[in-house]
Formats: sequence, C-alpha cells, structure tokens
Amino acid sequence: MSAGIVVIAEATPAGLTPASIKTIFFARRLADVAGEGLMVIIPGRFPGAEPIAGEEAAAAISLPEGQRHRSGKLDNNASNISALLEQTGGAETILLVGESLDAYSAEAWKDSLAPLCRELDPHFLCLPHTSRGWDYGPGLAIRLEAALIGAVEGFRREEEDGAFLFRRSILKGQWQQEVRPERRPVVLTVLPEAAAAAGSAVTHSDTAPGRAETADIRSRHIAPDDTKAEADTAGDTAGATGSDTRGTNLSLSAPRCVTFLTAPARPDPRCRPLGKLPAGEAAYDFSAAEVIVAAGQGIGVAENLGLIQRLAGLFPKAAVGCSRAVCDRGWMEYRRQIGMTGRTVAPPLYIACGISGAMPHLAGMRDSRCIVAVNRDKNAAIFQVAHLGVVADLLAFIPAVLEQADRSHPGA
Amino acid sequence: MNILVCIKQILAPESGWESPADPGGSFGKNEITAVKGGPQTFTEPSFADDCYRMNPYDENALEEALRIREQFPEVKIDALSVGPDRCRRVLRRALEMGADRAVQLQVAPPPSEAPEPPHSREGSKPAHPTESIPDPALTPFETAAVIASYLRGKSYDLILTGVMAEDGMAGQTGQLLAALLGIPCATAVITERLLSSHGPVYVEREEDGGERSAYEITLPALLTIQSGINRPRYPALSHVLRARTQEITKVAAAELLPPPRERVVGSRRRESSTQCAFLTGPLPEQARQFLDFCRQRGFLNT
Repeated sequence: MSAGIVVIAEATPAGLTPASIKTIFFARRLADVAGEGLMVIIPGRFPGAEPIAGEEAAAAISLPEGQRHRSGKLDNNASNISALLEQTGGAETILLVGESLDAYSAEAWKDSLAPLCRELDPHFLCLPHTSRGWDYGPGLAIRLEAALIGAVEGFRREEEDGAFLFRRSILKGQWQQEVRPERRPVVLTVLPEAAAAAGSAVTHSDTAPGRAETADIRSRHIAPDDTKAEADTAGDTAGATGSDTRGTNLSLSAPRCVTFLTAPARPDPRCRPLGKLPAGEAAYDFSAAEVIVAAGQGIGVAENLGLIQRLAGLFPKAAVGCSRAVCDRGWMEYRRQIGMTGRTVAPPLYIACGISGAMPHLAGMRDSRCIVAVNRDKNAAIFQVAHLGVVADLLAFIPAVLEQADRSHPGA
Repeated sequence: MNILVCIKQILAPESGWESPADPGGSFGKNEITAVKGGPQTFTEPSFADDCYRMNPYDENALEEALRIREQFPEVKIDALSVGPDRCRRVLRRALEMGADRAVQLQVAPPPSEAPEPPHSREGSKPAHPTESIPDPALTPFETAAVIASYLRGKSYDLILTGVMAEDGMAGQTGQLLAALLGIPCATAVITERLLSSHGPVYVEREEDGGERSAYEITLPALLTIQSGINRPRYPALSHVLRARTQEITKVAAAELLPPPRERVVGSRRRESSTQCAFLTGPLPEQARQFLDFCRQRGFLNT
C-alpha cells in the first residue's frame, strides 16, 4: 500500500476540522499536479470503531514485526465516521484508532504516525497548520528524516526540473519566501490560504467554510459507473475514486477505501496529557456583533483604545476586539483576542485598526464578509485580505471619521 | 539543575523592512549594499548592528528561566545563540537580564574569509531575484541540528526557547531540537510550573481558539514559550555592569552544519493586494468615503 500524498487530518466529534478539509483540498491539487495518489489518515478515537479481536481482522497494511498496528472493522452504526468519510472526498482513508490518541499529545501522535508513514512512504505528507500540526509536525519530520516546510500558502513547480517549490510568509506577512525540499518525504504544514490558492473553486465567500470545497472535491472525483464499491473492505487501493457521494449516507457496509488501524497502546510515559482545561475567563461573545472594530499594536498606547471604542460606538451593533499583541501588552483582556489562539470571527464588517495582519491574526478573521483595514504602512499584510484600505495614521483618521459622522448627524 | 535558553537575533521590525522608504528596491532607512568581498551579483541589505534585537518570544523564554531560578536558586542558566558575531549583542543582553553564561555557536565564516550569501551555498540563484532580504542564513532544521550537535555530551534538564521567531515565523526549531535530542517537548506554553528542581514540569499549552491543554512532562524536556506568559524584565544596572566583564564563549560551529533538507530559494516582497480598494484624497474626504461605504452596506443608520 502506498500513496504519493498523505494528509493527516484532525477530527472532532462534529467531523473533520475546517483546516483539515482545506488541507485535503490542497493535497488533492498537489496530487493532481504530481500525478500521485491521495490518502487521508485520521488519528483519533472513534466510537463505533473498535478493534476486532482474533484473526478475523486481516492485516491491511504489512508492517514490520513488533509494530502494533492492526486492522479492524467499522461498526455500521458509526454514523459520525460516515460523515468523516464523506469529508475526505472519497480519498482512500485510514482511521488510526487508539486510546493514546484520544487526548492529544505530540508524543503519542508521533509514536503512532511515524511507523505508519514510514510504511506508506509518501512523497508529501500534508498536515493542517494548526496548533497540533505545527506541534507534532517537526518532530514527525525528524523521525522520518524528512524535509519540513511550515505554514505553506501555495506551491508551484520549477520549470527546469519539475521540483516543487512551496510558498510561505515571513516578516509579519510582508514578504514571502519559496522553499525547495531537498529530499523526500516532505512534511508540509498547510495554511487554509493554500486551499484557496490551489483552486479557484474556493473563494472568499460568506458560505460556511468547508462546504464549497467538500462539494468541489466530490464533484471532481465521482466515477459514475464505478461498481467497485462492493469490493473488499480494507486495503483496496484501487477504490480511491469514490462513487456513492451524492448523499450523506455513504455506505459503510462497503467502506472500500477505509482501513482501520489500531495505534500502539503504549503511551509515552514522559508526557502525560491531563486534558483540556475549562476556559478561565469566558470568551467574549462576538456573535451578535454586526461590526467588529479590532485594535492592533498600531494604536501605540493603551490610552488610544478610547478612539477605537468611539469608532465602534458609531455602529448600532458593534463590538471591540484586538490582536494578540494588544493582549500581551496588557491593554485588553485575552477574552477579546481575535486570531489563531483567540476567537475566530466572521462578522459582516471587520475594521482592523493598526493591525499588521500576520498569519495568526488572519486565521481568526479572514472569513469576515467585508474587511476594512486602517494602517500607516501600505505594505501591511492586512491589506492582502482587506476589501477597503485606508493608509493613514489611526490617530488622525479616526478623529476625522468621528468629525464627519458628527457633521452628518448634528446634535446626535 | 541546568537550563538552556535558545535565543535568536532578529532584524527588528522598526529597522526598515516594515516601512521601506522606496518599495522599488531600497530597504527602508538602510542602504542596500553589496556583500563586501562576496559575489557582486548578489546584493543583500546591510543593517547596522543596532537594528537587530532579541526575538521577543525568546525574551519570554529567558524571563521564564529567570523566574525558575528565583524559585530554585541552584539553577544555572545558559543562553545560546547560533549566528554570526553580531548575535553576541543578544547574548550580552541575556547576561544583562541575568543569564549565568552565554555561548555563541558561530556559523558565519570569520570576516577575513569571503562571506557567501546563504542562497549561493548550494550554487543556485534566488528564484525571484527582484529583491533580497536578510534571510536567516539557516533553516530551522539546520539551526536545530547545529545546537543538537553542540549539546552532545552536555546535560541540560530544561531547554526553553520562544514559540517562534518574529522574522522567520516558522516556530519549528524547538520541536526539531527536542526530536533530535529525543526528549519530550511542549509548544506554545502559556503556563509552566516545576514541581521540583528534578521535575516533572506541569505545563499548559495554548491551542487553537485560545483553548488550553495541560500536560505533565518529565525532565529533561524542551518547552517553547508563548508570548504573554510573563513580562520580560529590564536588566538591573548591577547586572548590566556585571555582564560587561562576563565572557561569551565562542564555538566554531560551521562544521556542525548538516546537509540541508530544505532550502530557501528566494524571497520577495508581497505584491500589493489586488482586491483591496484604497481610499485616496485628503483625510476628511477619506473619512467621508469610509462612512459612505459603511452606510451603503447598511452598517450605519442613514
């Protein structure tokens, strides 16, 4: 069993994470360009998918002796798995199941994934660039002696020798660099932007993230008269093209492209996960806001937050948020932080004030329907995602706006 | 108990790359100059030494080490940086903040030799020869491998570093180093508590959406420190004076460099946005246009 392109997706009880779906989309494009097959590995613990005892479970993957991967079968009632499989867009899928994978720890994921990836020997290994992928990805690359490229935003192929070059941002997103892997396999951690760059089907729209891509993946891989669906359950690599993808009821009695493997049970004794913590301070609820005015480091000093609040005050349903830099300086509470390590918001209007637009912030707001950016630096990366740009000093621009607003509503 | 803090020297954002005076080619307040003695086809901006600073995330890491030493006075803190001689400035700063010792792993050739820009090491040209920025000469893997080689035979109970560098934004060096050393690692650590000077260490790491997960990790271990975990101190005058007399060990590390596993082939400034409509005109006019924009879309009453 082998596949040129392997995605390691992250699942929640609600299905694959949006970042994983976008990574699959990117990987599909990479597979098309590279002319290689695509496979998705989903590590986790899935109710309904329990290992089958005895020899009934035929080995789907031949692993070297001593590695504790085993194959098993899916319970037909595992409905959440059916949803997962739909989201992989018909790609050959491996559910990597294990108790040690339940509470995330980098050590357990690396222990389970490294032997499997070594066996699959992919050309590219695509992980979503999330707090997980970015956590275990580098260590996995070391175990595989792989090349490693992080926060990938797109790729192209070198004309001369067909080498793949991957694009990523540096210097707060103002610059991009191209990185060339010097060996294989290549571990990539993939940003959601990369999905958008990989196909025009993904647009900056207000539809639910993930939907469009899923639909697109499916439509591109339907093989209308594929009757191979009834073939053997596990290990049938030929089944990579999906057939029954019209509805949500992907037949689990014939999960032709699903392999079910148990991860090594031995948890790394050096790193003991103690579980998720209850949120300390309740996250600020941005959901009712039609307009979010967000402050960045560019406000200069905490006292200027008053201006941000007055700007927000112009709008009937507005809320004030901020970038991480503002929280780190103690100017605002972390519960109002927007970005990768804060809230993810998508209001109808997002006004970014003095925010440079580095990747972690964009991750939390780029799906806003309309983005206005105010920044002194016209090269700020925030303008890459903005629809309306104001290159100005906030301390001059906001007072000018307040004055104009006053003028149109005298006495208000 | 020995703690190692890995520190990167970065080009400070305020030093030019953020607001170039002329986007056409010049590099902010600083001149682009040909690398002295190097191949003249390749130009690289040259910045005065004081344009570089300690990566702010590494400052958080060092501060965390200092706090551990306040709790366990037997702790010794070593600061380490991989880089050319200018990186000794951040090591000096680390000593001023309170590190016990400092080590420079020197990878740039001594000034007497013709310096080679990083891109030409493998003999290939940048893919986008339009402009070149002072790329960190080493990839995260190379940096981690150099440190791992240096650490062979040495023993540190805890290695701390910033969650990422502000310039390269990779956030990989710590994890790579931990994997090369075969020790457990936690990234984006926002709370850290040593249960004794022999460990284990209790950590909370930050996940997507601001969620946190807790782990208990045995020593030796490596933690990458997230911003916001502490406020780095300003050096006390007595420490500044003491640091003047402290030695910074220099280790020639060029031969520790492994063959590259990936290589930066080119860098360029991002093209300006195609989707963004920029307002023009005097400021009051821009303010009016902004309000019209919001009104037309129904965000403002009338």
